[in-house]
Amino acid sequence: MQTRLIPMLIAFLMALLPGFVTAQEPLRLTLDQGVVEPMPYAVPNFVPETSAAMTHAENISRVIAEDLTGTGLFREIPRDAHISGISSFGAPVQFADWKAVNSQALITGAVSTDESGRIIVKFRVWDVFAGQELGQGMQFASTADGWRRLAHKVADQVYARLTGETPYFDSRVVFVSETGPKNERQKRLAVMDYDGSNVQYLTGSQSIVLAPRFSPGGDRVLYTSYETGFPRVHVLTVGDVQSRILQANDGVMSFAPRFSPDGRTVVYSLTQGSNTDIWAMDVASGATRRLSVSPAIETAPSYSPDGSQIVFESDRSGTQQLYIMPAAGGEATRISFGQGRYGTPVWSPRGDLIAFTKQNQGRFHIGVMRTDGSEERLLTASFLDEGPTWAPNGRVLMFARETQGAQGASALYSVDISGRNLKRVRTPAGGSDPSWGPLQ
Amino acid sequence: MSILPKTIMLVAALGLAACTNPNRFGSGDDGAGVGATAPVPGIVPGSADDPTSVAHFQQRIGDRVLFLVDQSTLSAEGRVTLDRQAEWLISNSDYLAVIEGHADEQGTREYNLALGARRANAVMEYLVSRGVSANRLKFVSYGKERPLEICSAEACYAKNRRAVTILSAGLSS
Amino acid sequence: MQRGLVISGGAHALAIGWLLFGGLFQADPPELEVANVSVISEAEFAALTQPEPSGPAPEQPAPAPVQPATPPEPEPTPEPPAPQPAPEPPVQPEPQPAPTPPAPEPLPDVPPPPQPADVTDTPPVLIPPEPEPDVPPAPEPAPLPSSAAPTRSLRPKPRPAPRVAPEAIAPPEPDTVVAPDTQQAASPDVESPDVAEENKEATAPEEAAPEIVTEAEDPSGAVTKSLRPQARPQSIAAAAPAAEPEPLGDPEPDSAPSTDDALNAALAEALAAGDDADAPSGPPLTRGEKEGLKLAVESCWVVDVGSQAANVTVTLGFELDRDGKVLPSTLKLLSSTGGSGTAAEAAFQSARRAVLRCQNGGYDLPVEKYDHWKKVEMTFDPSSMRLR
Repeated sequence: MQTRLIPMLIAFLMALLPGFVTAQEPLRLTLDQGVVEPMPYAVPNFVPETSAAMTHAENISRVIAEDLTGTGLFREIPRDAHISGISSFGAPVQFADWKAVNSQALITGAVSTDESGRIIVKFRVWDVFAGQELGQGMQFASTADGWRRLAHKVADQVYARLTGETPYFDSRVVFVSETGPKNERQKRLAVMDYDGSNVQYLTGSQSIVLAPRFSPGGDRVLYTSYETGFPRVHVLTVGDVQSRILQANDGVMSFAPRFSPDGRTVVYSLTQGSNTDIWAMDVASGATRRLSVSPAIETAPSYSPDGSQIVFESDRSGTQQLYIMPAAGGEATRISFGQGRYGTPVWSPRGDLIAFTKQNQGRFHIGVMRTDGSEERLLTASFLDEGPTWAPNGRVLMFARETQGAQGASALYSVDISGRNLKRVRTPAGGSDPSWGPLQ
Repeated sequence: MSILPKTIMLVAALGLAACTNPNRFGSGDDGAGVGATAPVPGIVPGSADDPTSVAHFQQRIGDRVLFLVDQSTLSAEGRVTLDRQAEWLISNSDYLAVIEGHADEQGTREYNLALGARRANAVMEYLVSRGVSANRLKFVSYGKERPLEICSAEACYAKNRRAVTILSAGLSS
Repeated sequence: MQRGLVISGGAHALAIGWLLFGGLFQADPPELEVANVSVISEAEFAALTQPEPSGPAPEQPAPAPVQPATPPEPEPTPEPPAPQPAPEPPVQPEPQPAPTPPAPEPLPDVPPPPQPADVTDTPPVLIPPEPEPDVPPAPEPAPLPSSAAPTRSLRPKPRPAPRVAPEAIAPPEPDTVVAPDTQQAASPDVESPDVAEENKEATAPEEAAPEIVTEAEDPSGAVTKSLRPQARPQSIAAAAPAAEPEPLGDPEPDSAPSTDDALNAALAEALAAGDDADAPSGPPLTRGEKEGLKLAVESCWVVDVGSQAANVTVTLGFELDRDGKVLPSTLKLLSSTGGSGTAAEAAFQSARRAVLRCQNGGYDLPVEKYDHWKKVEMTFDPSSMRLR
């Protein structure tokens, strides 16, 4: 009996065993090659909830689409391909209809107006394939003339939810607006929305103005003006468009200014004799300090986002190259070693990359490298590209491109840091020296 | 844009030029005669034949020197021109001069400003070494902002890499 | 001397006059207009997004409690501690012709709402599949060709394409419809309510380049023929991402044991699988079968290489039904490494979309091995795709 029992017991246990083990190991797979392509999304026209909101609803949804599609990361499903529409903001979303047109994200919204003429826009973002909302519904309000900003705000939210990154649509760019031939260029400072709309001028064209730079808060602009006959660093308050000379020493040139991340210090170049060095000025007290001491040309300084270091260009090696030094001055380390000349370095707001202008074999490039100079990538190539500036999230670079020849003109362009999505920024006249302000 | 504002701007600019700096970048035909003093009898005052005129300085002496790519060293030819400039400045001591440095468009904006300054400073130092009083001279750089020639070829670039000596009447004291 | 003084004096007078009256001739920089945009609190938003009666809206809607949109009971419960009294947007005296333009109005931060305002989340209503319109994506502008003379390039470079995929795909023939997704031939028995497959035309995969081609790498503006990838998909099936060196055949071939291996396998099976008649678990998936699933999901995995999310590796867990369809409720994030919260969330969403989007009628897996693929843990590691 006993001897027969044991095998039975074993058999019984074995029968039980699978019950534990079969909770089969999951199938484990590692994916390492995705695709890089714009994500299809749909933004059916926002629902106008008051008759006065009709035009705004149309316009706002169009600007949202322009913002998103303009990144190169998203592709709008044309509206005439939509199967179902959005008739009311509260109605349930027919996910199947949006899946059928392969829309991966869906933005729904409504626009209304109140008695005072203010516009109110509300919206939701949906993950179509997961059948759920991304984030929560939100609403913005503004005066009627701020409808573009409303649209940018909504697009910013959508962008942030879909990419996980901080956005940049509701931001402005200060730049030099250019008209006239090369030998008689008229230059004026101007600000615009990041997409080139709402251009407003900050100066007249009576004297040459160069290289404006936004303060970290976007309330002030540093620039170089020939108003006195000599290039001098000026600072302009954006609110009242009043400017003053920041650096007024007689007989010397000051240029290439840029704010520190806390907005209290300005670094700039000062030329004395044949020598150009980098100086820093405390904005409140006007106290100055020399940061670089070398008989070579040191210019185009730019702070790291934590304010501890400065990247700049110098020709101390014989050609223009990039160097990094402590913010208080001192020993500088060369970081660029590729072929050609490197200039106008700008530290990315994320802190990980430095954008620059590179000149090599008669061509100009906008490129990026790590802060130690490694992993250099050139993003553009043309007759003359220069002066990159970072979008506030460190994702996009804007720069100026001058075309060749007697009829040559300068225009603003932007490019994703992946090197994709190179495109011209639409401005009413020519443009150069862009400086991207903060997210508003 | 009517003529009136332009005229006023021009006159005002020239007026300012008397004390600071002229704002012109042409080939040097304009502005002749302003501040010209002590005309020599028999010669049209202010014309190029008037050896004390600005026009003479610009056309006969030569008001500019050219540079090689990314260089600020003076050529032998440039030194000859500058020797004559120094001589003229010494004998026409009522004039002040601002030396404008320029670069061609093949470079970044900031670097070209500094490069133009080097060129202008090289000229200024040479003139001083030839006996022109340093307090009569100033220099300024326009970088690539004011090219003379606008084609995108070496023929134009060569003319744009320059330092130009701009005279202005000094208020002698 | 005298003359010089007169000239200079006169010129200075003019200059001063110019400074004083120059404004007559020079357009003053126009004042800056900065639009005032304000944010409204979640509570107010929720109140506003309730299905509203068509009558005149209450002037200042009291912050209503956030409420799932269940039609009945329009009874507003006495308000709980309102999430946040909306910082009333500054009312601005409207047309402000004052010469001093308003300074940019700092916007109040968007308040992170404590409670989701979930008003419309009803399950999608299943509607019989409608004839699907063709959706030819608008041809996207290729990167701007550079204007300069072409320089010679020694090695052929991939031509820039809006899509970057592991394998280069030549542009489709002019008359094929480019589908956003490569789709396999619709199997007749799929009756997913979500995916209307009846009307789909055979499609070619979208043109793709094997790597990002920047303007700087583009040897010339002109696209020369030699730069094009030579290979052209022989047939639709060959180009379909799921098609693999080892085609997934009908159930038998792999599972037919013959020799010692079979014996061992059988033994192992006896030990492991026991008598779970409900879940036949054949031998483990072949490499090709695994690869097929991997490729199927990869073809829908959109990676934003410039983003922070591209630094994040996420692992998703999910379960499949016997048709190879994902059970949505089982899909969850198991782990993530290498990025901030929002970047990790974006990476998760992207992975989730890939899994859900590419299943079509269900992933093509051998049903007799169901036990081996019932549960899946999929790791999405974009590190090799990151920008170099």
